[in-house]
Amino acid sequence: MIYGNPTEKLNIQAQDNRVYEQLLNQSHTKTAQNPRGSLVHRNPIQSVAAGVKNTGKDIVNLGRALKDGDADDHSLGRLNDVGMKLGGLGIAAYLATRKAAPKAKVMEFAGAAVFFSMMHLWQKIFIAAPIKARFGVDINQKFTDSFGREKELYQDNQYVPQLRSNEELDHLADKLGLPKDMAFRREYAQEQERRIALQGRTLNMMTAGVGVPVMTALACNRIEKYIDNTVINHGLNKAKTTVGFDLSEADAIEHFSNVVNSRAKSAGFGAEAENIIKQYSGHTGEVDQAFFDGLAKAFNPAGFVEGNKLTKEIPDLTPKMAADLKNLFASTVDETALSGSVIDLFMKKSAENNGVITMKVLDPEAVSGGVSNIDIDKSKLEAAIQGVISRVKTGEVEYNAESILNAIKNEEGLLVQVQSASNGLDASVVENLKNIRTEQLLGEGKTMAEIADILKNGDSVLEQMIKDEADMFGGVVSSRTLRAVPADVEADISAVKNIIEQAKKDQLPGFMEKVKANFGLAKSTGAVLSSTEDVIKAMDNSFGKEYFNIVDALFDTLKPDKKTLEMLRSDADFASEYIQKAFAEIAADDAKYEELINKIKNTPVMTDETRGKMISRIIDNCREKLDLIRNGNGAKGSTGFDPNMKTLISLTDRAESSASGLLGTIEKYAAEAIPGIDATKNRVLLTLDLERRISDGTLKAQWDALQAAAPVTETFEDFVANCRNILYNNTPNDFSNTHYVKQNGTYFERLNDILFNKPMSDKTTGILGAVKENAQNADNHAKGLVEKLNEMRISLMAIGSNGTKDYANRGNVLDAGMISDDNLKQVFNDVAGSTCSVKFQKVGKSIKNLIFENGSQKFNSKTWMRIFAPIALGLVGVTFLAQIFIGRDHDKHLYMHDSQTNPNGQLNSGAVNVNK
Amino acid sequence: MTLKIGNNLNNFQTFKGSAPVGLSSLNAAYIRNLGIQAPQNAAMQTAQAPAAQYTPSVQAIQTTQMHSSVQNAQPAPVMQPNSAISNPMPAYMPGVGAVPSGYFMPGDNNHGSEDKIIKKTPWTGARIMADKVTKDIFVYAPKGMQGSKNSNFYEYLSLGTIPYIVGSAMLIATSVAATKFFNPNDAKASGMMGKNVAMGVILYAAMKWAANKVMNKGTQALTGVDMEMPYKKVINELPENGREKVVTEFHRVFESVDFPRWDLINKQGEENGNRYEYYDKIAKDKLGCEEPLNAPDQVVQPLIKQALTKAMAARSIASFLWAGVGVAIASQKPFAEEFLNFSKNSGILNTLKHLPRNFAEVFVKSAKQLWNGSTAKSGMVGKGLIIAAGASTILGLLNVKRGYKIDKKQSETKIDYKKDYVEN
Repeated sequence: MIYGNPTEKLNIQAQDNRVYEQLLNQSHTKTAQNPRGSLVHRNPIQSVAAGVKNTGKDIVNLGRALKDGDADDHSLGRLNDVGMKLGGLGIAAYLATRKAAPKAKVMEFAGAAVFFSMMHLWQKIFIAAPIKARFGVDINQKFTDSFGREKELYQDNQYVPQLRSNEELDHLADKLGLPKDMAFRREYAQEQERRIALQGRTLNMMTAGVGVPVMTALACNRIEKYIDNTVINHGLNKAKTTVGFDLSEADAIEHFSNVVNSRAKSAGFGAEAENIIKQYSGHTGEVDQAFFDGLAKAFNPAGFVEGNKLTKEIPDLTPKMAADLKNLFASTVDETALSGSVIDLFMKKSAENNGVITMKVLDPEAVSGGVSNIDIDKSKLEAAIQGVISRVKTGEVEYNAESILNAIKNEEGLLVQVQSASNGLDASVVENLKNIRTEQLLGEGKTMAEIADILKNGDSVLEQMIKDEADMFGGVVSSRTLRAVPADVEADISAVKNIIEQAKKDQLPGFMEKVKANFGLAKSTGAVLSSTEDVIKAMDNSFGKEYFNIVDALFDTLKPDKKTLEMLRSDADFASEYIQKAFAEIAADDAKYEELINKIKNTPVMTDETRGKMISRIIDNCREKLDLIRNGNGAKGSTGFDPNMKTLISLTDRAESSASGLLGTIEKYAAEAIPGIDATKNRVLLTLDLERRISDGTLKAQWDALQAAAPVTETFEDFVANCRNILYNNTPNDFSNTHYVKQNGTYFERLNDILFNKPMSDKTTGILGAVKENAQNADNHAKGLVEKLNEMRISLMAIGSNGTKDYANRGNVLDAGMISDDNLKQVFNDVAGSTCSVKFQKVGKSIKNLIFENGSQKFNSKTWMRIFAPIALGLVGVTFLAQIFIGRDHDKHLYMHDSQTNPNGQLNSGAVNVNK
Repeated sequence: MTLKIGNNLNNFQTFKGSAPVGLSSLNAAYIRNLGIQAPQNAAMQTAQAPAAQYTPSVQAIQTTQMHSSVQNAQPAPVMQPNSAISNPMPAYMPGVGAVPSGYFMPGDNNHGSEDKIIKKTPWTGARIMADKVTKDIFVYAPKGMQGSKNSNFYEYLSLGTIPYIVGSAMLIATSVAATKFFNPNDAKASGMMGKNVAMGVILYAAMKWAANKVMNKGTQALTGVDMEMPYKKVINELPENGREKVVTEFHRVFESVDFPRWDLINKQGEENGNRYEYYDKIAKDKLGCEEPLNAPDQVVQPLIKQALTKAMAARSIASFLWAGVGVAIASQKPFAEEFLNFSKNSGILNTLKHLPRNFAEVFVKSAKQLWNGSTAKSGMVGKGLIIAAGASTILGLLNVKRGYKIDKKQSETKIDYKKDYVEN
């Protein structure tokens, strides 16, 4: 028998001793000597807080691991999670910058968040919850180990810490429904729990691959609408704050001015333009057209704006800006210095004597050498040159060597009369004299080459001969005009070029100072545009939302099935017939009609008043701010734009700007975008009203009344078909050009009269005219909608009344005489005389195109859902089905007593001496 | 399992199975194999028997005592008290099933039943992955669903490969599956977007793998330690359903920083003649030690642990950032417009033939576009992403090298060997 410490008594060799030592001393210090772990029980709110705390711990551990290399397996394993979330955030952030719409940007982050949540939620909802309900076992049970680290209890199936007390085990056994008289009840319960957790976790591993992506996609599909609403409302609120919607007018102007100033100062605003200015500040190259073109890019206000709702209307102002900058540069010329340099150049090779300068100038008619000497007053020369330079400063003369030299040449003050001796003598006589002289020189023994040399350089003998000859004829002295420009200067312009280039370089610093001052103001102008663009973008987004609200209202009411959608998206005519039938059906039913009308009425995101106020506010704010900028933006000592910056001045000018400048652009946007979306919505209402009038007989009554007065050959059925065609199918082009009944005089008039002039049905006006108590619609433009619809009807009539196209029958032109209301008469005349683009916006999208174009999108969505919703449902079904196999009993009967077969209290397994 | 061993050792009928009963019969088989005669001194042998036991529990020893006293008829066991390798502890549970085959192999250097470092080739990673995936579907999942007690953490982690692969395919499917039902215009637009998503998923995995490889290779170059050194683990499973399997798993020697498998490294060294060969090499090549160290393992092991911790932490972050770069590259226009354009003229086979070149061109183009960005903001974020990923890798590797050195000033011995020491 062996008692006491085996290592002392046994004859064990040293190597084996070492093995023992490890086991006896428990020298693996990672396994705790006195385990102090405990299970974690938390409610969902505490879980969130704990999650945040654990993430904080992870980051601290990351720092320690990187700094000292001190970490354990647990913290290194958790770092994987941190890395994954960081990577996901980076991906979402990058992909968001590639999307234009704010909804899409937010959905990138929302999608990432949903995906990471779904990795936990999938198993929580579809596996852990049913298991908990059935067995009372939480497969995600967490515990805290002796070192305070939070881990999952069942992460490692073979190392599950025994953390439950006997009471808890008994309770667990009760939940599992184990008989009370079972042997090893607690142990069996624990083993069951382990098994159930393993099965559940394995099931999660097998199903998460399909479940998580599909569930994420479905969840994102559902939350998209809410995110869209939130994002658009947020954008609108921001826009309202920018324009000072809730402030008084004066306060709003000041507030907007501050907003613009802080935007202009903000980091990164106009970074490209700043770089250009910086780059050119240190410019040492030539000051030429390329220089001004490059600099002009920085001044273009459109360059400061991200997005193009406003700037697409503004033409490219860079050439004009370049010209302005050129003038600005010219205006910084130092007249004195430059003219002094030019004068010095002129006088360099000339002799001065008592204020008179003798200059060698080019003379094509000179006897020899091609040059002559002329005399000119110094003061005249100076005056002429200074005159030219001052004209350079004002921009009349271009600031380059060629232009300046030409201008100088043409100066009157530099023209000098020169008497010419060879005038009056025939060229042939001069030739004769030359020949005589040549023979004389040949006689003296000179060679031809030498003779040619002598003649070229001026032969005094020959000149005397010519003079004598001229004197002989006497009295004929003619003079010619020469310009007092030195011959070398005229012949070789590079001297002048050098002076000009040097002068340009010298004045460059002064010029760039002015440029910077003006650039500051241009940047503020850009900031005005940029702030306005943000407001316009927010409004535009809301109009886009309104459009999709209309589409959704229609499709949700019609509820076409997949087959119908497939046909709708491929055949526009089918779409038209389909919607006509659907509307006719709805119009016949009072309740459905009212429901649909109300739905359409509630599609706008912003009320009419809000829209109008925002546009007028933004225009007022811009106008005032641009005025302020033009006059120096309130900065001390700043006098605003330099007078040479004509383009910027006219862009920001209050009066001019409205037509062609920045304000005009804003007004144009307001004139087109708002009517555009209104027209689409109102056209749907008008079409529904037409159907109602057809269905309740109003139209027939109106037709009969007119037919009695002035009958036409067309039938009522034809008439109804034409009315439907116009409202359902006609595009703006059709309204203007192919309103095909134009040749048909009375019928054309009748069509327009009944369709657009005679009153709408009572039911429609009743629904639209009533003020709803519903708080959501409290500020809805219900009251004004009927008036707006009437205006639209008259506009459509005006657009279709374009008689100039009806060449055959001038008498078919519609006029305002048919209209009784004076205001509507005014509307008719205004629209009839307006531009095509405005008319275009007033027609709205045809119902046929509305359905056809959006049918594709609806079909695509439905198809996608048809594929993946069943997959999701199928997977959920499989997951639930698989859970049938979870938690089956395992040899339970071995631990039971069956008193009949084992009367002595033995277990069914036959075991005796059971440790109870 | 809380069932106490002592109780059941007394009960021969507790476990089903028809194995021979008792310790001594196993030894009998062993003896027969070796052809060794049983020695006369049965008492000595019996006394030595407990030494060969794994469990130091007193109960077990007593039981064995009782056990062997009962089984007097059997020849006394012969235990040769050599190294544990050639004489492993036999199974101590009576009535256990068939003994695993590698247990009593004759000879010293047979490693059939032990963990062994396997040689790493370029195909090792792929081989391990293939093994995991196959076993996932046919072995680990069924085991898990049955609630087997042999289902361990390795199997659970391996099962994670299934959702990774299936999930990636599903992500691609949600973007691409419905496309073929759309009308031509919509199908084209949706197809382009689907290509971006599909390539995003593929490049995510590819760049993550590449970043991992770079970190591993970098760490190996700097420290001489291969983080991914594989070893084959042999596990003798617990008996279940009347069967007891021996399974192999593929682990990494350094997968745990708390418990690295130094024993395998030492064993490998012993086979090559020098137990500390691994550490000596690192000390010489990477730590700059000219002279051999006295206790290389004591010096090098903590350094390796620190270096690997830093490397693993940096790898977790860097691999995901590079994966993000991969997704960002895949989202660029060239992948939507120019990649894998199956047209009627070129046909599928032709397009596939030019696939590598097509991919390389599009990848480079997209990477440039990512860097430059289509707008100012996307350029900024794109550059930020690439710089962050690059910095995390480079700084991570530099950090690994930081502190990876030995204090050259070894403490000098104060003993003067030339002197004689005389004990008083």
